[in-house]
Amino acid sequence: MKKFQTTFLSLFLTLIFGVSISLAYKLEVTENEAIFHWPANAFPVKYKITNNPPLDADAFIPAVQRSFNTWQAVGNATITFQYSGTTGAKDPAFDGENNIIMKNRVSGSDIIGQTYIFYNVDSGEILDADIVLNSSFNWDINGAPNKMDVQNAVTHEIGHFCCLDDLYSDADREKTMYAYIDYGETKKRTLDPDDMAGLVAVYAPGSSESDDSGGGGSGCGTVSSGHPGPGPGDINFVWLFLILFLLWSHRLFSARRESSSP
Amino acid sequence: MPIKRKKRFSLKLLGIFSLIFFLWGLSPLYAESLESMAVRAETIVVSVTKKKASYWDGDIIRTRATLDIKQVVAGSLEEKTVTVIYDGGVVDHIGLKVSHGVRLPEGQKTVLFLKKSGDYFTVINQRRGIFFVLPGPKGEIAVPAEAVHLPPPGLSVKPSRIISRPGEGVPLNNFISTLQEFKR
Repeated sequence: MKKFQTTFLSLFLTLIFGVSISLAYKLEVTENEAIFHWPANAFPVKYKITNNPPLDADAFIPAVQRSFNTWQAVGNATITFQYSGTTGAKDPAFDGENNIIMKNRVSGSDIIGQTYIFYNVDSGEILDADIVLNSSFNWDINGAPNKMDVQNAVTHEIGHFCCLDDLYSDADREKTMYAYIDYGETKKRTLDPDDMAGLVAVYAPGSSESDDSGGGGSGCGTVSSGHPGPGPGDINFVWLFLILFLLWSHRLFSARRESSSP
Repeated sequence: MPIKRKKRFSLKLLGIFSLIFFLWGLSPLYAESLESMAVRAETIVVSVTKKKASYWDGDIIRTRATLDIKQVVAGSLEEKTVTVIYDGGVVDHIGLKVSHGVRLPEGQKTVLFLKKSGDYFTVINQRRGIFFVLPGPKGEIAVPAEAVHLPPPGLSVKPSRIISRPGEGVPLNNFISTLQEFKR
């Protein structure tokens, strides 16, 4: 029994440790450690969508809009977006327009989408951002197997567009900002509480970014690129295991006491 | 509740948790395999980033990185120094950050999957085509660039500021042997 207890305890500690590696969210920071953000005077942040989509524009454009709406709907975040028509842009560029475009990458490349963010190094203010989707993939809006879902990928890229960096830990797989995407995947369409927490950390009402008082970073919570911390979701996991372990120990010792009493 | 039943309950609990974590680890993801990247690369090298310079190229910022070649793992390369160009960088007070983009801190030793493009090279799959060479407990290890937390790119990189996730590293020699095997 003692051996079993030790094994269980080891497994428990391993799980706790493993889960603790997970990050809540990661904010993009500049060379001067200012956090990326759109200034409040840029709200609503306007965006244009390619006039050469990989599928019917009547399906593609609403899918992209739904992705922006998902982030805009986060409670307590002040950032807003506005669709302002189509664009013929072929490449990302520092041109004052925020475009969602298609671009053919080398065949075999596993880059599905990328976000190009131009920013002020001192303040972290985002000046221009473009999302580039790889047109060498087959795209779809219904999560069809063997195709990349537009809304799924664009929702992830908009996380970058706002201020968030990628997450690579296995424990972050369910989050929108997890860096890998699978064919037919749609789970990134909806935000994980940690994704939302990242957005709110930068765009909470009254934060320096929302007030546009300059100097990114002061109102952005405790998580930065170099020092990410555990998020609410991870803490829940830890607590869940802790409670289960305590319950198990308690019941085991009670049973022992019962059996040893005359 | 008798102890035997308690033990059975604990074992069931353990079984359920193990299954959850096992299934969690099975979820497939789209990422090109190391073998496929190795096959696609014209050259795989171990190099150290000597210097970098960013510049405006039309409406975009690009960075030209000069690399000292320490070892040619696969492919033919006679030069001792090569140039890699990638999107992103800083010019004056304007920066361009590209998600999933190339990161080559100055002074950092890396294993790179390269493809020739005129008189310079590009990195295959950008960040996924870069492995940082870091000190490990028994010699150097190769760690995917994605698994390494770097300080902001403008700051100098000191080993103590680079944090990699435990279990991510592979002994460099084993990594090189594997890549050479893929290229055969």
